[in-house]
Amino acid sequence: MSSNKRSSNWQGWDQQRNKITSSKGGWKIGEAVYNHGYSMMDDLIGQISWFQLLVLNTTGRLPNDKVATWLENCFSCLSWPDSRIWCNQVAALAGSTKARPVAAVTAGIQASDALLYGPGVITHCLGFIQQARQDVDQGKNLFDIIQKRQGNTLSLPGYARPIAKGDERVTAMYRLSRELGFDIGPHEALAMEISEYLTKEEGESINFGGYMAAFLADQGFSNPDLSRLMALWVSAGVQACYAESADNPAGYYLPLQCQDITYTGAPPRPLPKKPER
Amino acid sequence: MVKNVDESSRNDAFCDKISTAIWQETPSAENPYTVNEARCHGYEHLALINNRSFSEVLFLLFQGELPTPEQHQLLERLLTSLIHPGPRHNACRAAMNAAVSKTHVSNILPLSLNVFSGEQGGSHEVFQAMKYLQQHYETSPLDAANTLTKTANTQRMNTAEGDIMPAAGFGTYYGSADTYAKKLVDNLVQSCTAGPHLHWANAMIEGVKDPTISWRIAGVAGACLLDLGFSPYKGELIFQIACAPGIAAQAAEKADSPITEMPFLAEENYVIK
Repeated sequence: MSSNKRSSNWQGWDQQRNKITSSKGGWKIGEAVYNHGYSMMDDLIGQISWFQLLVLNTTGRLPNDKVATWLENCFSCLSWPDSRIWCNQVAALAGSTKARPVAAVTAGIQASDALLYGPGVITHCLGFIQQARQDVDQGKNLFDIIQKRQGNTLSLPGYARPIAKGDERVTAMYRLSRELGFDIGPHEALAMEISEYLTKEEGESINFGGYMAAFLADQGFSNPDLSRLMALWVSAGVQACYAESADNPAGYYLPLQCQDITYTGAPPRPLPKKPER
Repeated sequence: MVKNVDESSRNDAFCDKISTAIWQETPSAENPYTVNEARCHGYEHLALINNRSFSEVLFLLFQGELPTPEQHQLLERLLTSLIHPGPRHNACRAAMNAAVSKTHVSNILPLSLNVFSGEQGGSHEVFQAMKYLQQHYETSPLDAANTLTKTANTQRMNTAEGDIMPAAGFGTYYGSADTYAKKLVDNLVQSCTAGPHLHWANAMIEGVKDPTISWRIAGVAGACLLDLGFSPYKGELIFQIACAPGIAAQAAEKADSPITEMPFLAEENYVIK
């Protein structure tokens, strides 16, 4: 029991009362706005991209423009203007009730925090590829690792995806990675090796989340930074679907007649008399 | 160079129509989009409006049957126990901050409930507390208490700051036992027909040797919601519904207030490291 650490039960909270201590920065009125030591107006505006600022503010590290370009394209890859996609549909439904843009886009982004796709998968993808690399470095057989995991009915985060087999975004981003001059790092190489194995054995392959996690692990990103960075991942697709729906008359997005819902519940029944206590 | 991907549809068998067992809408003769009659799990909506309370229909929605009088009493008292997380809760402060800064009213409750979603002091703690209780309540409460005590000790050794939560829903609150959560539990146990989860958790807490480890609000809610037959998924949703009125009221109170009605820390209290 570390009683010396906790001389008073609530001392830790008392020390934080009426005070903010930030290593991120802040606004010194009449002086400057600081972001991790940079003066925003003097050092950053006009000189770095929004994605560089996003990484700086989130992680405390200012990435070079190539990493920021890669990340920006990574966001584009999850921004399809197709309102059948679950998070996009949430925003389209919001648009069709004339919800305000911020409410609709926020709702779509929240929907994307899921276990099947979107930012919700990043932790699992990153955890898997980091663990796999550690296991392989320790001499474990990669294919034993995969088979054992699948034998335990655990999925392989970062491989396969809903709706379709294959993932054209991996091809596009792999190409961009090389065009930007990035070498293939150990996580990316291993991720692709696993993908080739799965393609040969099961006809499945790496998905975009898996590729993104492996590539960014090679760039030194880890959790929780990565999950935080990708929070708005789907935002541009959500925006598109909201805008189109909001521009149409209310209720025009996939309207349903009463009979379009199949009722499977209890048949009509009389309400019982309220029992006495 | 990575090969071009052979992308192909899985041809999943998606359903053509949405189905539900909860709510049935019969169309009117004039327009297939408008409703002539609505039923909830078979009961006519208008009959429910006129003869049942909000909490009874809330129970019906999630469980498919009306509550027994004992369940109704427990749910009603639980809902009122949870109706306000307190003005210091981060969700209430978020609501008030948004209100004074004139955030559009439509966004107030959604944004506050986002803040209210966390794993410590938020709705997801209820989900996890319910999972914990589900996994342990058939074991001896004393054994669970001993494990909890050991886990708490380990957490204390490894954590210099913040609350100790050896199991979701149980632990310290600002460093000590949450006396108000205990009062709420005692009141529910005394005034309602408590179920096995509430009794088990009470017995477990009584067996914990560390006096600072006790009920947290999420544990209280989780135990009652399990006794009422809710799953952790449903339980987290009910918890959000239950606490929403207090959060919303805090925002409404500040709606017409100037921005100065909420603190904005003075320069000297904002320290950039």
